[in-house]
This record gives sequence, C-alpha cells and structure tokens, in this order.
Amino acid sequence: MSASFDFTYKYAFPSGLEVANDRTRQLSLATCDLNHTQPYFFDGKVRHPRELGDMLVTLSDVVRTHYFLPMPTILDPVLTSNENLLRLEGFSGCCGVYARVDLPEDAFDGDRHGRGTTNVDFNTPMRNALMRLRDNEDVRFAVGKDEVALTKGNERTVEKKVKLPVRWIKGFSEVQAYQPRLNIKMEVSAADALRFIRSLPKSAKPKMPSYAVSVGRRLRLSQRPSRGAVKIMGTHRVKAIEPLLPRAKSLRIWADEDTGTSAWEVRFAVGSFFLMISPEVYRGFSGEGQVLSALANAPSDQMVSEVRAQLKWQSEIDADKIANTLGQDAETVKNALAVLGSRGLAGFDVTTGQFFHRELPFDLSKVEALQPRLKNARKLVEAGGIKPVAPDASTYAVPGSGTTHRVKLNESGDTCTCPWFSKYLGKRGPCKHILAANIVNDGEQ
Amino acid sequence: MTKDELEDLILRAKNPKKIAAAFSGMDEKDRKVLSTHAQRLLKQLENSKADKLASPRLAKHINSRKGEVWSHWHKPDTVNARLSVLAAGPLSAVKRMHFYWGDELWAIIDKIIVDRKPAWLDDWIAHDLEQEFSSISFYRIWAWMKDGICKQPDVDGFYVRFANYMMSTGFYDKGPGVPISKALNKEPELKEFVWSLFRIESNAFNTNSWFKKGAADDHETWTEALINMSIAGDLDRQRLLDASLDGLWTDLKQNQLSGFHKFHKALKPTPEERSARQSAYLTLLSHSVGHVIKFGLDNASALEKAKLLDVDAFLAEVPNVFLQDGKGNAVAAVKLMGRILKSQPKKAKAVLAVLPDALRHQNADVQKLALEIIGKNTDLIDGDIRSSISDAADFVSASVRSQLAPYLDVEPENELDQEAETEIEIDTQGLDVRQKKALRINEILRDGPFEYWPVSQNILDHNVLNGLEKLKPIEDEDELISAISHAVEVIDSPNDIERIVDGISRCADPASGDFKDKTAPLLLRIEKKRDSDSQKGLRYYGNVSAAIMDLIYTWLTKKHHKSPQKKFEKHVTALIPAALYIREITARVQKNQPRGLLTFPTHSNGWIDPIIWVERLAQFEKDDVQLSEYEVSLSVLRLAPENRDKALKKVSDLAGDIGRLARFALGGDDRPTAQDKKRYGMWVSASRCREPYGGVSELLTELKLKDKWPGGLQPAEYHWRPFTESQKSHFGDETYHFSRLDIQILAKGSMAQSEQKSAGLLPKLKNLLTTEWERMPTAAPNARTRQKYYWGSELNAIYLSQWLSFQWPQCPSTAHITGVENLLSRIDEDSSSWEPNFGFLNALFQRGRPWDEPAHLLLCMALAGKDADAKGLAIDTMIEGIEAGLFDVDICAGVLIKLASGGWLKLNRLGDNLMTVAETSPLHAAVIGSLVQKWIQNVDLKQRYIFRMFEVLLEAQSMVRQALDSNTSEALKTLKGSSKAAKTAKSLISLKDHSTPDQHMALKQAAIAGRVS
Repeated sequence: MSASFDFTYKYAFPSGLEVANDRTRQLSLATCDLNHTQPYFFDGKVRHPRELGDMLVTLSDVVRTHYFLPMPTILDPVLTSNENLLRLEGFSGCCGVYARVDLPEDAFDGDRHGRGTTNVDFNTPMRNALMRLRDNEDVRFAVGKDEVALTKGNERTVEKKVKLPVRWIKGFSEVQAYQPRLNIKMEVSAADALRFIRSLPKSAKPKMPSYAVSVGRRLRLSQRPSRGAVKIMGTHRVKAIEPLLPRAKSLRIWADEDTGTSAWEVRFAVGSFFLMISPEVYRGFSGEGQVLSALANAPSDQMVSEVRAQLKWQSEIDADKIANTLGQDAETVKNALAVLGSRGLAGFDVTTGQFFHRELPFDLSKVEALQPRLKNARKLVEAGGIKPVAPDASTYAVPGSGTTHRVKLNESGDTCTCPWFSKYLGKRGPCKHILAANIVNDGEQ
Repeated sequence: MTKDELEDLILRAKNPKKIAAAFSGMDEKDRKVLSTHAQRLLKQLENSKADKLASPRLAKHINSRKGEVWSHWHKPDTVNARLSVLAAGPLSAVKRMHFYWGDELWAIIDKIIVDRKPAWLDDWIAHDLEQEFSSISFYRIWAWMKDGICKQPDVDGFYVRFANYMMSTGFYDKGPGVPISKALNKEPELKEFVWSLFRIESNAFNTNSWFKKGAADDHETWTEALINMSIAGDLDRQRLLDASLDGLWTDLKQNQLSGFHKFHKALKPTPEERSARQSAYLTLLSHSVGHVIKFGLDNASALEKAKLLDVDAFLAEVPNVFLQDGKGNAVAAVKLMGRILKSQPKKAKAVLAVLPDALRHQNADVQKLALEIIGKNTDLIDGDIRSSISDAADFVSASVRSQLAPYLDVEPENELDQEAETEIEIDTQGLDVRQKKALRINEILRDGPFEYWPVSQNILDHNVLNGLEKLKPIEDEDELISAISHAVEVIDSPNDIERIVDGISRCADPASGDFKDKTAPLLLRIEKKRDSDSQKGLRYYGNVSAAIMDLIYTWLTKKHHKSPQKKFEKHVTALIPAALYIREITARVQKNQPRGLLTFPTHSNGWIDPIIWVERLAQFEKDDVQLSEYEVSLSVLRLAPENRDKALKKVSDLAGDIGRLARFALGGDDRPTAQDKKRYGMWVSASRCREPYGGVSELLTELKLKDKWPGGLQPAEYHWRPFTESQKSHFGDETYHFSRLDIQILAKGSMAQSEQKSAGLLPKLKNLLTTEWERMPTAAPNARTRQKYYWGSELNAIYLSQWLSFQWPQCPSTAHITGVENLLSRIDEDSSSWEPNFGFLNALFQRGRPWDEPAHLLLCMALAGKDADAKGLAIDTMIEGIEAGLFDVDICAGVLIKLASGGWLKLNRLGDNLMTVAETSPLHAAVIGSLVQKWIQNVDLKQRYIFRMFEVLLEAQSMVRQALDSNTSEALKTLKGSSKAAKTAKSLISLKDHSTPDQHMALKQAAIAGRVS
C-alpha cells in the first residue's frame, strides 16, 4: 500500500446543476481550500454550455478513473482562478493521466470575484446533469458562492474523507516538469481526430507501445516506432477525449520522445481540454524523477522566495520581466520557477510555453521530503563513502547494494553502473547514485 | 479471572462455551485487564510460536504441536483465544481477526456480545460489512437491531447482505426459509430496506440461474417478489417504477444497471405511467452506457407508438446517441426519427434539423440510413440543414460520401480526387534497369487502368541495404560495459546482441587496469540472473541465451563456464548453429585473442555488405586468422544481394579454400573439391547464398553429400492445411473446437511422411545420411526435435523471435513458419507478456525482400488473431508491404482461401483489420479491393461474418470509385434474402465505375512512389 495522507474535503454545499425559476440553469461548483474555507471566485453566464459540460464531464471521467485497477477514486479536481482564465486540473486515480480544462474570459459573460486555487466538488449527480447541458439553454456558472448566499441557503454541507496518495501529490508536481519538454507533433481536424480515436482498440489491448503516425492529413495507429510518431502506452487512456471531438475544432498532439510522454490538446473555438499521459500505464507521473535534478541543484532558497513573491495569480508568468525586476538572469528565474513547480506552487502551460501561478491546496511542505531517491542520495552523502576515482575527477565510486558503482558525470549526460540506470538510461530521472555524486561534486566545486 | 486462569482455560477447555461462561457478567474494567494477555495468547497460538514472555506451560503446549501452522487454526485452544479476544479485547484487535466462525460458534459469540454489549459493536459491524466476505450475517445483525443491541448500519454492505439473505435458497447460505414477499410482510420494518437496493451494488436483480439452485417451489426472486407485492398493494408500484429509473444514474457497474431496467420493464408500465416518466426516459439518451440508452430508446419508441412522445424533448436528447459507438442504438434512433417524420409532418423540419447529427456516427449504415430519410424530404431542406450536413461531411464514410452531393455546394471530394489533382514527380532516374525490372515499374506504367504488380519474387534481383540502419561496432571497453549492462535489463533489438557479441570478441583482452572494479556491479547482476525467471533482458533460459551469458561471464572473469541445460527447456534448432558459434568465440575470449567477427552485420536485419565482407576476409588472411566453419557459414548467409559483382572482383586474389568459397558464394566459377567435404557445412551455406530457392546438388557434386534435410541440398517446401479439431470434454457433455494447422516442411521433391510410410523402407535406406543439420544453418531451422514436456519457449524472448530472420536474411521462410506456429497457439487469446508473438512479424518490414507464401501466411495469421500487438504490427506490415510492392494479391488471396476452408478463420477480425489497411490511402484501397474480390470468388459466401468482408470491399471500391469485376458480381448475385451479407452484396453489385484516367494515373504514381522511396 502506497503512502497517503488523510484529507477531508469540506464543501459548503454539493456541486450541482439546478433549474432556477426563470428556466435558467445554475451550475455551481463548491469550493474548499487548504484551510477549509470556501472561496468565491466567479459568477457568470456560460456562452457554450454544451462544450463546458462536455469538458467537465471528461475531466470528471479522468479523476474518477484508475486506468489499470478497478478501484474507484474520488480525488476532486483543483481550480485556479488566474487573472484572465479559469483552469481546472485533475489527476486520474492511478496518477498516470493529467487533465486540464482551460476556460478563457471569452467562455463567459461574468464577474471574477477572486483569484487563487481551490478544490472543487465533483459528484455523480452533477456529472449526470452536465451530460445533459445543451447550447440552447441559459446556463450560469459559479465557482463558490458569496457569503450572503451561503448564509441564506439551506444546503447541506459535504464532507469527503479521502486518503490522498503521496504519489498523487507528487504527480501534480512531476507533471509540471514534463511539460516544458513537450513539442508539438501534429495537428488534425476534429473529424480526423475522431476517426483516429475511434480506431483505438476497445477490448483487446496491445501490451507493447502503440504510435500515432501521420499519413497525409490523417492519423493512424501503428505498432512501430517511426520518425515523428507519437508513442502511446495504454491507448484506452487517450480514448477519454473521444466525447469532446464531435464539437471540437481540432486536436493538437504534443510529445516528448525522450520520456515517451504525450499530450492531447482538444481545441475548441473558445477554450481547450489538455490530456497528458504518462510513459506507461503502470507508471504514474510521480516517481519519474524528472524534478530530482532541479531539487538537488536548486537555486538558493532566497532566490526561490524572491521569485515566489513575484507570483500574483498570473495566467502566464513572464520570466524575463521577473528577472528584470529582481536583477537576475532569466535562466535563474526559470530554474526557480521549476523548483516552485515541483513544490506545487506553479503550473506549466505548454501551449503558451509559460508557467502560471497556482498553489495546490494541500500541505506541500513535505514534497521534497517525499522524494525517496533524493532522500537516499543524501543518506549516501552523509554516510561519506563517495570517492572520486583518480585520475578522472568526474568519475565517482558510490557504494551500492553489495557492490560499488561507478558514476560518471558528463555534460552529455551522467551515467551509473546500477541496474536502475542501466535499465532506463536516465529516462526516468537520475538514480540515487548519480544524485549523490552530483551533490558531492557540487560541494567540492 | 486472573491472566494465568485465562491461559489455563484457553489451553485446556475443550468446549468453547466455557469461555463465554467465564466472561459472563464481567465488567469492562476486568475485561480490560485480560485484554492484552488474550491478544498475546492468540498471536502465539495462531503463529504456533511462543514468544520470550510465554509461560513454560504455554511454550510446552506450543512446542508439542505437530503439523503445519495453519492446521491448528481451528483447534479448540486457538478458537478459545479468539473468543477471549472478542470478550475482552478492543475494536482494533477484533478487526484483525479474519476467521470463519461457523454456526455453532456464532451461538457462543452471540452470547458473548449480548452479555458484553461492547461499545465498539456498531463500528465492528460496519467494518465487517465493508469487507468482501462478511462474517456477520444479516439475520444476526437484524436480531441485534431488534433487541436494541446495535444500531442500523449505515454502510452499503448491510443492504447487500439483506438482499443476499432474503433471496437465499438455503443451498449456499442460510435464508429466511420463506418467499421474499412473505418474509417482508411478516416483518414490515424490512420493507424500507428495499429502496436501497436501487442505489447499491447487489445480486438482487441478477438473473444468473445459479442463484436459484436448491430453490423451493414457492421461491421468489427479488423481481418476482417486488412485483407480487406491488400487485398486492404491499409496496408502492409508482415508487418502484421511479426507484428503478433513478438507479440507472447511480455510479454502479453496467450489469447492475441492466438489472434495474430489466426490473422496470418487468413491471410493465402502462402508457400513462410511461407518459408520466417521459422526461426520465428521454434523459437516458444522454447516458454513457449503451444498454441504458437502448432502454431509453425503447421507451421513447413505445411512447411514439402510443402518440404520447414529446418530440421536441426527444430531439433535444437524441444527438447524444450518435456519439456512442453502438450501431444498434443509432439505427434505432434514426428509424424512430423517420417514423416521427412520417406521422407528424409538423415536426418534419425539426427532425431534419437533427438528422445530420447521425452523419457523425462512425458506422456507414447509420449515415446511409440518415441520408435516405433526408433524401426523401429534399423539399424541406433549408440552408441551415444544408449547413449542418456540410459540417458533418468530413465524418462521412467513403461509401456514403457520394450521397452527400445534392446537399453540398461543391462535389464531395475523396482522397483519390485530391491525389489526382496533385502532380507528383517520381524520380526513377536513379534506378538501373535491374531495379526497374525488380520493382515492376514498366508493368505498373502500362496504358489503361491501374493494375497492382508485386515486385519480383527473386531476392537476388533486389537491393536491400537502402535506408537500413548501419551497425557501428563497439570498440571501446566502457561502451561495451554500458551496452551489456543495458542488455542485462532490457534488449531493445537483436542488433544490441550482435554488437555485444562482436564487441566482446574485439575487446577480448581488456586493457584497463581497473577492469575488475569497473565491471564488479555487472558481474554481480550476471550472477544473480542465474536464478532469475525474468523474461526481460539477457537471461540463462535457452541455448543461445545461455551461450551469450556464458560469453559475457567469461569475458568478465576469464573463467570458462558452460551453463547446463535447464529442466524442461526446449531449444530452437534454428539458433543452434549460432549458439555453437558463440561458444567458439567464448573459448577465444578466454585465451585473450581479440578480433572483430566476420559475421558482424554491417546493416540492421543481419545483412552484411559483400564488399565489407571480402575486405574482412582479406584482413583475416593478412592476420593469418583461421576461420571456423560456423563463422564462414553464418557470415556467408548474411550477404546482401547487391554489390556481389563488385565484391567478386575484389576477392579474386584471395588464396586458399576461403578464397575459393568466397568466389563461389558471390557467383564466381570456383567450385568445391572433394577435399572440402570435411567442411561441407560452409559450402552448403555458400551454395544457398548464391541459390536461395533451387537445388544445389549440381553445384556441390564433388562433395558427394547424402542429404535429405530441407534447406540442405534441396530447398525447403512448406505444406500446410488448416482444420478444426473437435474434442469432447472430460464428462462428454461439451465439445471443444480447436484451430489447427497441419504443417510439414519437406525437402523439395521428397515425399510427405504419410507417403513415405506407404512406400515402405526402401526410400529411407536410399536416403542414408552423411550430413548433420547442426552444421547447415539453412537446414537447422527445418529440423524438428521431439520433446514431450517443456516449459515456455526460448522464443518468448522478443529479441530471439526477431533474431530468427537475421540468421539467413535472404530467405527467412522458416522463421515465418515458426511465427505461424506460435501465432496459431494464441489465435483466440489476447496479447501476452509471457508469449509475445509479434516479434516474428519484424521480418516482414525488410524492403526489397519479396514475400513468399509463408510470409503471407504469417501476415494473415496475425490479422486473423486476437493478439492486439501482433494484429497492430500486421496492419503496419501490410500497409508498408503494399507501398513497397512486397505484398502479392494472388498469394495472399490463395492463403486466405485456404485458411477459410479450415473453419476457424474469424472474418470479423480479419475484416476490421483489412478495413484499417484500406482506409490508409486509395492505393491501399485498390489493393484490398482486388484481394477481397479474388477471395470472394473462391469461398463459401455463407460463412459467418462474411458481411464484414463485403463492407470492406464496399468501402475500398468506393474510395477508388470502381465497380466490381464481373466474376465477383456473379458470385455475389447468388446471395439472396435480407441478411446483412445479402444487403451489402446488393450495394456492391450496384457500384458503378466512376474512376477517371487521372485517378488511375494517381494510383500508378502512388504505387511507384512507395517502391522507390
């Protein structure tokens, strides 16, 4: 059983869709932040109710699915009210699928009442109601409720006690580290995308990686790697976007060939749905070790704090601007943002290529402590057995299980003789021996 | 009671009632004193292990026990300890006990609970009910509830147990002993629990027959009971109707939902009751589960027939039906819309406004049906409807697209039109006459309609090295350590193995002083692998794998080690020469004699460029290297067909038997002499290099070999026959059918085994052997060893199934046949990590290597199988094979016709996969169309799922705008009736040829472009 924290969502009312007297429908998302307050962020009229409904249902599908075990999960999505965007982010129960709904200002006629991040209640009756939203209906959308409405209302409060898996929280931070590596691979029309998604296996599923390949204007599924192909492990995970495509404009596919991660961005006239899948079905984003190097060689705490102080719920954080303000170079600021991302204090939006400010509503003080590989690397350093191998100063002998490993620190990529590194060749982040050698090497320098 | 007295009681009491009696009337304070001791005793008795604080009596008692630990779990002492924990322990200790108590013990437990009334009882019950297997029965909880000992549990498990208890026949578990309705009426308080059955997952509405096993004559199912009670007025019928509908929106499994709507249907709602619930039925059209949507549609249809349907509400919900995969619901929805259109002319326009949504459904029949209805009402089509049709045009299948024309401003285009409009310049200038001939360029460019020609069937006509990855040898010790370290964990390709074996040979004499330190972690892992069963990476299982591991071990330690054959290990004969060769290398590595290998491929797939090969030979001659028979044999079989003439010129001065052999292999005039018989294996290989398909006896006359092995002096021939084997089950009550292929590999011109038997002993005597298949790598794959029992196969390692075709890349037919045998064994099984069969298909991706019958058989087996990895790769293979001209329509049609005669070919699977290939491009559609037509003309058209093949043909012909050929039309005309197949056949027969010369030219250009790219 993986480690988890007890966490209680406390909502003032259940999220839901109600028919008001004037036949207007009111979609209200109940909120709850880390301190169990219920922020009120937004209220307005939805311009495309059906699209909003479809996107939220699909997000709900992702967060309540465990893609390799038949176990239900109810880990609510997180909503961020940025300066000109509402974003909902969710994570599948297996931590291998990340989904984000971006709703720009154009999606609503409404008022923003606050900025920040909150959990939002997703429940089955609301999901069922969202499935029936139609474009010809008047639908109002609210995130939270103002205090007056809450005081007057007779609604029952909702408490959901959950086990919040550590890997789920870690995944939220790891996924930010993957996104900057994604490159756009192809864009196809919604019709071609739908044809492709429908062609994915329904019952008999491949055990080996599949690939999306571009043939003319179309996409097709292949079982063979080829140039420009996008690797997919677990095609059923990508199928999650199928209900969105009949009304979408296009599908953009992003991928990182080194890690095998891919992202599927369903684009609407207004707004988008972003689905990112981990390199393998049985591997979530957590534990991939992509942020370990950043954490092991992070900018100074003061630098990170200074950059954090510049975050004001921007939907796009301009690293150059912050660098100018702080009198630092942009690279240092970006590194600091990466560290903040790893601590759940910023997200990355690959479509804009920028970080955005978002503070996960969980106690994240222990995220770094939750990195066992880094913890083990520090133990190795403390034990003091790491020695440079003469005459090559960039090679270290690092104690391992029943043997001593050789770690070579290279600009082209560090290497180690341990089974972990031999197997993944760095694709799943550095091993503890490499991390330890780096810490020692940095200390020596 | 003291702790000592408790221990004595637990150990000695034969009757557990004494435990209950001992605790009777005890207050919680006294119980608490005994709690820890009871728990400690239980732990020691359950584990049969006395702890340090155990009394001498307890230690003696435990030490006197005999038998397995578990055999004491039901003994009185352990049971007594459990009861004591229940009587004295806290909730945490009680929760830890997972034990089936049995009815007799329950009477005692009941007494303990009633006597103690523990504060934790409600929590314990709730905890127990949430377990998959609950130990506390419903009737006991119900009894405690009635006696005020516990509260009503607030967990779903309570209602699950309620459902099970009430429906129990007594066969598997205790039940009320009377029909459900009687039991509920007897205790009316139970009736309130009924409503929870519509929101939880239970067996209440499960219709499995085994639930009725042992049932009395008056037994009722839940459905029967609830209906009877509603008729008798004992339960509110309207509430039952509503509850079963509400249940459909719960987050339960699909089979639970089907139970709810089946129950609802069984209530037989009247038209009025239906009408009152119209909104609830219609919202079900937005459901995500197909059978729930069907239920919603059925009710909408019933309402429509009763003229009670709210058409506007229906039309608002129905578009969702077209977003689901199922064809049946979509067809039903379109048909219902058609009926509304006829019966309610006022609503016609509203219906027509929604019908274009059906064009977004994935099934062509749904689209066709919608367009037929639209077509009958063209006078009502306005700009908005046209616009909706136009928006959906991209979603419409090729076979239906032409029917969109009346509603679109511009003629609907398909891919072939677009290709015909695009001028493609194909550069065939770089091809010499030989290549043009091999690729059939002139035949394709003949005047007239496009005709697909496969490339020449002779490998020697082709170039194979273009575009292949060039293999770089490993010459650096550190790089070699990294490569081996990676391969120990995972092998990405057989090329990794080629590089490692060659690399070890090159680095046989490690130079660095810290070699031992550097390789210590690797050596540790290699040694650990000896006892590992992992299939990933290098391993000790199998002949060639063990040879590679021993080679690595020898390199690391300089100690020779030959791993023994493992029990139940079956060796693949095709790889035995390679294994023997690796053992030769190992011996040289132990002697610190470094050099590169003659067999090391210059390119992927095992090929060696002949020019490099002769350069290596020259270097070896210079270095006075003695080459073994295996090294020469295995290398000569890898020579690529191109550059042989250039290589021949370079090798003219090479001396000795190796020089003669090289010239002979490359097509020169040299021949073996009688003295060469000692190393006949390499001469046979050399002759097969220059003559892969024919007999080589004449070339090797001087060797005077007596050989009968297929692939030796005579090429192998593959005879196969599909059939279905039927076997009765053990009890004879069922018949199982197995898909079989009778495969025989024979030397060309020799008799089949059955014929040999009838011909008597003489032919066998005549065929007395002088050859051994182990020495002839071209014959080794065709040798079959018998082994009654074996565990797994060497070829379950993916890299080995891929490596098979690397041994003789010119002619991998036997590797294909091995793949066929493996695919057949899992033809109806999902993909497997234990038996990953897709690796065999790797060989089909080699451009310039024409596909023979075994290659097409391998392809067809993968296309017809359930294994998603093999199937997916087969689709890729076929797509690329058509582009490269390797695919041969006639051979493939022949294979499919023969396979269809076996009675086990699944045409739905095959059809789905052929459809995917056809949809790739007009060229692929043209080829698939041609293949399916040839097949149709020669098979029984009444086979199951044949309509799927017809659908493929319809889509393919529509893509290329061509009619059927006359023979296919005639064959299809024999189908009569209204079956799906007959209807599709009619559509096929009615196809007209709308293709243009430009479109045919586009197909020709596409065919050539694929071959020269």
